[in-house]
Amino acid sequence: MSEPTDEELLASHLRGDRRAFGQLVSRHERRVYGICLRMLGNREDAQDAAQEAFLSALRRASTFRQAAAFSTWLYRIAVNAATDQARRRARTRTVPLEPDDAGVPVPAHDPTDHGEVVATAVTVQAALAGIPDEFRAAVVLCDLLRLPYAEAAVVLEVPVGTVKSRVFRGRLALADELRTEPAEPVKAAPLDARSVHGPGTATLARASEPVETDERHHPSKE
Amino acid sequence: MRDHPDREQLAAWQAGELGEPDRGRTAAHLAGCGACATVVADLESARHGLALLVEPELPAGFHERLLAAVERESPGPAGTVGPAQRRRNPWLQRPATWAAAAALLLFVVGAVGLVNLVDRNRSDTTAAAPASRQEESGGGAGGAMAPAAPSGGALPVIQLAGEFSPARLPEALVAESGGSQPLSGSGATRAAPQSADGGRTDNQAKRPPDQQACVDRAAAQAGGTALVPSFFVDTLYQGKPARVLVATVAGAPSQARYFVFPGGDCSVPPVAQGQGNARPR
Repeated sequence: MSEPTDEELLASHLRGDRRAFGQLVSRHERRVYGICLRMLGNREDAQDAAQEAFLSALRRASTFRQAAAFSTWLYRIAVNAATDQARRRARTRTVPLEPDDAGVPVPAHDPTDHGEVVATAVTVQAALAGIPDEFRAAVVLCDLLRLPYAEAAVVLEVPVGTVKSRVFRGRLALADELRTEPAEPVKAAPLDARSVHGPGTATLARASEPVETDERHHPSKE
Repeated sequence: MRDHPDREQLAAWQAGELGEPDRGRTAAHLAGCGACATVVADLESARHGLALLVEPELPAGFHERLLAAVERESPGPAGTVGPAQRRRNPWLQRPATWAAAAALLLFVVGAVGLVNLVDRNRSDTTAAAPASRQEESGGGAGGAMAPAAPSGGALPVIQLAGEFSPARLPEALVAESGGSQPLSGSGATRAAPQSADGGRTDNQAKRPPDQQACVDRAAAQAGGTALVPSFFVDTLYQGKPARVLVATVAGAPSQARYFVFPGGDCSVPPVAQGQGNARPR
């Protein structure tokens, strides 16, 4: 037999199989964490929200209806957990992302190029944090997770047309954020290689990394 | 000189999601308006930037902490199965995949209806099947209409556990006509498999050849009817893996057509096909 489906695992969990939910966690933790990270913009909040999402799914497992894909149901819980987390944190300060949080794979061949990609991805993440929550959720689901509009509509519990509208407006807001990002010096990335790229990259490269890039090595943390 | 298109319309145009006649008007406007062309260029930059945000790695130790937290909250001592827990879960005791299949179709076809309501003008302009097919595919043999393909080439692929039944589609469609909203709390779709990389797929890619082959086969089956391919369902048909293409009919957005290809092989004609009503009331 092939691997059990998510729905079968959840059913096993409800029958008392204590390993089943752990398997679901292993399958989905990266995407759930990814949703939370992109929604919240920093690792601490993202971990809290992702954990809360799984615990919430655990508590509500018996309410899951077979008509929904488990993943769709779980993403909705994750989006809600991230939204709650954003409300909960009283602070408006944003903990700067570390380069790894931008999800940039480390290339083996060209460290120069890598430096530039890190700066740009971090910049985009920072800009993403600046757009309205409603738009950000739609952009995260459709543009980053690449969910079909129809599935994002189920996750967000709005009509498909609304999802599209939010994605479009989110992209516009993101474009505005990237354009107006203050041009601070980028310490972690070489600047000279940028002009060789196309206009798209050049636009992004004008924006800088968020502040405190030189304090990434949190001496007291981890 | 007409007014500038609004920004959301420019975003829809940039995404290839604008229907005629707005698509043509917008293109014509962009050719002569630097300000709007800049908005589109910025949108492209933004999407280019989003593509850099790949799925992040989990922080060190997070997986373990997560499992430990789940373990703490899990009810009951290990190995025991309470009768209450058993009762909560009646649906697994029977192979209830039928209802899930029906509900999935019910939802996605409703979504097709919504999209087509938006695109009705566009559909009206496509009279002949081959022309429509190329326009919709953005990656067909002609390729001249590439920007028209919604969000690049690939059609969404939905995974459907259990058996697909042609008899169920019309039934589900009739039932669906009561609601234009996605099913509250119980809609069923699954992410397209290619989305798992978290966003590095080239959005402008042409439709994969295997998808295009299915679209072409379906169009051949449809005779003179102009099809607008909507999505695929990977599922079972007569107990064997099959890929179902769901399409709507250009100029008649209320009609959904489906074509079942055994084993996802579109080099052969579909083993089954049919149609139903796709328009939400």
